[in-house]
Amino acid sequence: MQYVTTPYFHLQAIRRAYRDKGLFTLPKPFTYLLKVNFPTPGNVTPGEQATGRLLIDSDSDFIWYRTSWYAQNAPFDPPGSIATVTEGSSWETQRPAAWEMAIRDLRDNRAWHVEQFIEPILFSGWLGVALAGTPQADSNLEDVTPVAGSDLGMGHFPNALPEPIILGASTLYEFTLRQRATGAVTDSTHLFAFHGARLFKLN
Amino acid sequence: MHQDYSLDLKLMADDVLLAYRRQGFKAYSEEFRYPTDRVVMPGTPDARPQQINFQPDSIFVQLATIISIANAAGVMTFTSTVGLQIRDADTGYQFNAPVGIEIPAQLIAGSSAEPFILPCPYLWRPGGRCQVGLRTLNTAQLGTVIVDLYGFKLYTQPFTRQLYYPEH
Repeated sequence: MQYVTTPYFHLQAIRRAYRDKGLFTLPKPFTYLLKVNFPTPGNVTPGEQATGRLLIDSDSDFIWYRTSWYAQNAPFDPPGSIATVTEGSSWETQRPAAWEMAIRDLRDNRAWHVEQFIEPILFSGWLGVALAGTPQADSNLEDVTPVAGSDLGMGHFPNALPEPIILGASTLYEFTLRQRATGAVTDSTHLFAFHGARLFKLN
Repeated sequence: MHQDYSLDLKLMADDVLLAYRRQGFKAYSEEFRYPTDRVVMPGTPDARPQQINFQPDSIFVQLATIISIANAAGVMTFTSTVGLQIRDADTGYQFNAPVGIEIPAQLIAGSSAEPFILPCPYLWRPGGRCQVGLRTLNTAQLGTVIVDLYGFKLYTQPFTRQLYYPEH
């Protein structure tokens, strides 16, 4: 289905809502990075789960409109030691069936879903449709194929959220990933990039 | 990075021009891009910081970020061989968290065909400076990198260094 969604339209609408409450805002583009690291690089066993936390800065609300999910089989820990990422990870085969996910707002310990975990495909509203591959290999993201020899697993979620989600200043969210495949998988480090805009209040 | 976002380029550009016209300026735009140097990434996880100096004659309105990564054979690739961070050297504003960390480039930059379009424009002052942090993240795959800030130069009459963001 073809549809048009523009983050800027949504952002301006949200700014108008703030303005109507007497709050004038200055928007700036921003990306929060959330890291979920499994303890054993390159080997995540069935049922194993790991958690990462996302803290929104205290000086601004964050308008979250899109997410990227990136995975690799070696720890991501710059600027310190960066190991050579070894061949073997294949995001194409390991996503999304290998993973399920839970999101919890730690202000009130409230989960964002009824089930304990939900599968990434159900995130279509939050993450968009999972695609494997590399965008520069093809100008149309929906047709991309993984680059041969690429040693990094990666996923793209190019669709924007149907509605951006406002993550308030100083709020803390917990993201848990659980491996649910029948065998071990190699993607042991997951990076979630939350794309959006910070709204700095001017008054 | 979705193609439909290209609509936002037009919306954002119009809104910035309108913001200046509402302040009483005559405003003209000229499509432009500011690239870094072509950087050969080292085989060690060292940083290769770059600086983009904006021309003093105009405000630069950034609408998208593009990165080009070519492997040793000159073939364009887009694997995460490179970490990237972008920072306004004059205000200290950094485009991504955590501060001071280069993150996989494709998370915050797109290709020429599918640029990473910002959710709102970012305005750079005339003569301003952008610090671009580049770091090798994967020593197994090295590349030659160029980062492009895509947008337009905004000329005003009379000249101003003041930044006016679009209204609501």
